[in-house]
Amino acid sequence: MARESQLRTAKGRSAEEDFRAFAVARTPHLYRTACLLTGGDTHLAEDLVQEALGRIYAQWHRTSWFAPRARIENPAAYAHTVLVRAFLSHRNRRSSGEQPVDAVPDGADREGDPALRLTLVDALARLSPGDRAVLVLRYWEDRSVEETAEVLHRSSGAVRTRTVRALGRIRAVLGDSIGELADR
Amino acid sequence: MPENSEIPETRYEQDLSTAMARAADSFHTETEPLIDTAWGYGRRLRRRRRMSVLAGAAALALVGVGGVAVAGLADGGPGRTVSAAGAPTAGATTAAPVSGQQFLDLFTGLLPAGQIVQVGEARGTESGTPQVRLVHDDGQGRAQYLFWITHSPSWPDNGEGCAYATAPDECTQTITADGSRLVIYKANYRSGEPTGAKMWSATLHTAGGYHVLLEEWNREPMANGTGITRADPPLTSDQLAALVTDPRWQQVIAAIPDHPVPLTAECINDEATAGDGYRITCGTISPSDLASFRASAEAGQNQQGSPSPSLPSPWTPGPSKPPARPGDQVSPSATP
Repeated sequence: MARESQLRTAKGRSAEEDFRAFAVARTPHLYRTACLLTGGDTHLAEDLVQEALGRIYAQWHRTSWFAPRARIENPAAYAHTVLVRAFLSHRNRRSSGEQPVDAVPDGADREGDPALRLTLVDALARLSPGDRAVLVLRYWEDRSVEETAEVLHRSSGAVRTRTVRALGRIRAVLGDSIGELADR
Repeated sequence: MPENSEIPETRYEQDLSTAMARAADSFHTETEPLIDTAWGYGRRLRRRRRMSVLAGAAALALVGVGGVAVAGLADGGPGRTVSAAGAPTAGATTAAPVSGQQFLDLFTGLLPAGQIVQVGEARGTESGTPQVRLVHDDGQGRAQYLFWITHSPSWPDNGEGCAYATAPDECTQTITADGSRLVIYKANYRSGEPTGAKMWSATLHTAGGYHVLLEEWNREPMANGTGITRADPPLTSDQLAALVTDPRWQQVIAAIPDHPVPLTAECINDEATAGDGYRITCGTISPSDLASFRASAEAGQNQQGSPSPSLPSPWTPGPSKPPARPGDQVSPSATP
């Protein structure tokens, strides 16, 4: 184990240092994604980020002699994939299925644009977890249909259909005020 | 307030994207405590994985002494762990796991004659979603395929059959004799895709809650910015249907863990692949690995000292296969 932690990368940093640098750089974005996914449940968002980062760490520069070349090629994208799947898995574990949360919990922080956040996040919270995941991946993460399908383990056709339905649902909640919110 | 329909959908999507970005930017937290907690969790995961690997290695050593072949050894190619160790963590199933290599071979055995150009992913049953993604050339032009089997009853698929199909898409839905639902969906050109692009698919929804899905393109959608490679995807509707209903998938379904939770159970042979980005990695094979793996197999130099990783043909399941689940019996069909 000491051997593993002492291995140095091409830049001369240890795997531990590399991981920490990655985590420091990516955690804010992971957390924001998690907040959108959870419909503003910041406590759950923190749990999900911790789970995703922990899983990334467990695979970080693995050097077992069974898998000497194992490494994560695109850890940023991989971390977000793990995060989304952890979110959906969490919903399933709680057997909450497609039940949306009833209310938006208070955030840990109220900087930024609280009105927009409350409006949009409240709308997201009224959608099912599956709808939220599709919208967050497509419109916040800017993933393609194919990439979204892969993250969610669904067919491209299912993602297209789900996207259309989710768009319709959030539009029904928000109305066309989304344009006013976006333009402010 | 104007009616929803007064804002074009594309504009609405742009506004939603902008609004989400602004809302997301308002969330901040202290990152260091999160990272510290994640670090401790990750350490525990890694320790558990090491113990699993060691247990798997010990099991393999015993098998080697006994001279008994173990299904799943094909995952033990260069640079990866052995899949036999994954069984205890993957959930309850008594069927022998199907490795990524085996699943790849089962699938490609049903494709028309031709050449595999690239394997983007080949994942076995340990992950809960065996899948292959590859580019194949039957001599008429390259085509990408995506094929997977998954069990996800929590994702409702009501209406995801033909209910939302609109021109120029074509969709047919058939209920098979055993109650499974077969959907053939031909998604034709859409804006934002290369001119003439088509994606055709067949999905078998079994009564047991499994989805057997095959998608084919007349291009390589994972290769950014490329146009179409042929007029139509290679397989006809009948060929698509025959492939997803092939009886060999029952064996794979039987090997999928009852509780496949790759995010809550540890995948010990997970690895990111090179190429076009990230992959969730339980039992994946990168193109370069595949090439070297096959080369070593041909040379009889498999790293684990196991029997040749090429599958017996026809593939036979492990000795302790349970009967197929009710509702997963599908009609035998001809190979495309």
